[in-house]
Amino acid sequence: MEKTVTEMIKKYNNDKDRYDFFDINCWWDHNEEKSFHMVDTFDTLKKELKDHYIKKAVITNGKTLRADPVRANEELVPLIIDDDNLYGCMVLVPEIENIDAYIGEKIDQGFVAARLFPKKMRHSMKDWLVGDILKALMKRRIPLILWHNEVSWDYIQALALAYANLPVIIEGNDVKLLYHTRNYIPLLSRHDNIYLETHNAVLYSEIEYISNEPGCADKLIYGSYYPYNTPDASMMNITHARISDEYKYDIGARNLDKLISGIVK
Amino acid sequence: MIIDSHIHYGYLPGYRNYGLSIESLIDLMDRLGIKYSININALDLGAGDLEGGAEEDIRLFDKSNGRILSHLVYDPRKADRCLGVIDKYYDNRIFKGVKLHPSLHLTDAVDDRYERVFEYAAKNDIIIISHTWDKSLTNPVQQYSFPAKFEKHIIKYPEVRFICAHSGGRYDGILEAARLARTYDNVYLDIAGDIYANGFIEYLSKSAGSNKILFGSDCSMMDQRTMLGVVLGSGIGIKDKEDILFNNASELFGIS
Repeated sequence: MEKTVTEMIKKYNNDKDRYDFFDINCWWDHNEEKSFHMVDTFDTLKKELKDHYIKKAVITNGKTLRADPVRANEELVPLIIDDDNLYGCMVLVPEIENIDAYIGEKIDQGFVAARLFPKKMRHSMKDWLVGDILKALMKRRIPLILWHNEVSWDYIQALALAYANLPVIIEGNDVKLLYHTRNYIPLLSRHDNIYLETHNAVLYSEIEYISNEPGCADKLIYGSYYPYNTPDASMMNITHARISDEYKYDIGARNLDKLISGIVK
Repeated sequence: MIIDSHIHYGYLPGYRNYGLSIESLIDLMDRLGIKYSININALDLGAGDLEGGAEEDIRLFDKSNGRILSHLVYDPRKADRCLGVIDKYYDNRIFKGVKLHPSLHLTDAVDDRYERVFEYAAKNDIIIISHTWDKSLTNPVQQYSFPAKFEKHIIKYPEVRFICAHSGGRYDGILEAARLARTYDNVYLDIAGDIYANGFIEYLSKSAGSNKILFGSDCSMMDQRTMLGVVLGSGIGIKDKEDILFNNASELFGIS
């Protein structure tokens, strides 16, 4: 018997609630430019995450990409520090002094991931410039998030080899990720420390396919790119995937929980 | 009875495909409550094999027990050949329209060579669907498909029902597509593609009216679950969602 739209919505909402989504790709940003939906206040952001059944989130301050990233990281601290369900993601640049201490301080303030933007911030990703950052992140096993359009696939592979204990999460923001499947599927399969954030893993049956690839079962990390994107674009591929419930819980939250529990304070 | 108004069956060589087959697609459609999907075949759209694409469309229709319908393709650079194929193959049980793709066919939507297909569609009561997108710095040919460029055809042929596929794709394109749908009775919008902008469905419903919007996925580039989740989770009313998911397409394409 056919389900009504009301029944479909009810089931979808129940499933979203059930898998305890933990969003690694959430941004604190007013989202004013060319946007159909603006988020005015941090309370609105928290309410909308809840309305979308996102139980926990790692938040990056959008101002890190438009202004001083260190200052923007600082602005995020009071917003997350007392909230058990919100974590921070720091944006790093090569000129931050005493990088090891800086990262340590941020961990104490509730930050659980870091981002580098070599194209947007115009810097090399070679060791001569960012080696200290990469070493400091690896020492503490803080996941490093890289957008696929900011670095080459060859660079990601070299990074995974040279920093084998550094978790690297690939994120497909802003530009289609689907054209790169021939690169990232083998990378996920071959390197224990490479992960994929899911919001742009949208090809037909892609979540099922990657989950069943050897070495890939624990490599998918849920992300939404909220508030720029609606989280609903990235949730049904998981809630309605033909994979085990265990995998759904893993992708929804547990793979990220595991990475965070591995961070060395 | 959900109708997916925009899928692409077939192998797309620009990336690794995940084993799309008629059986797996029907299985997914069953699980999601999608009764029909309307296909623009990769063979005729991308590879230019017009006859091969049409033949495969017929096989898909048969193998799916009539659940995979299709559009044929018009490339203005090969107008005679395309109209010949449409003449030969158009069977309105199987085919529901003719697809244009100005960006892929490197021919701006304002080009006069589109006249012939609009004329043909007007004479034969055929729906035209076209790729529409925003102007893009990274993909300059998308400017050929900017929604406003179709306006002269839309005005000249008010009897031809015209679908802006992807609703203009990105912000400025979406505003233009919504304006066309709001202004002209014969313009519809499909939401296929990676149009995940927060508030997109709510904006489109308010601006163009949910009676003008068709659910579409762009499968296999995008899984049918992505845009279905977007519609189900959006902040519009149940009746609006029903219109988008099936009522509008059912009426427009004559599918009951």
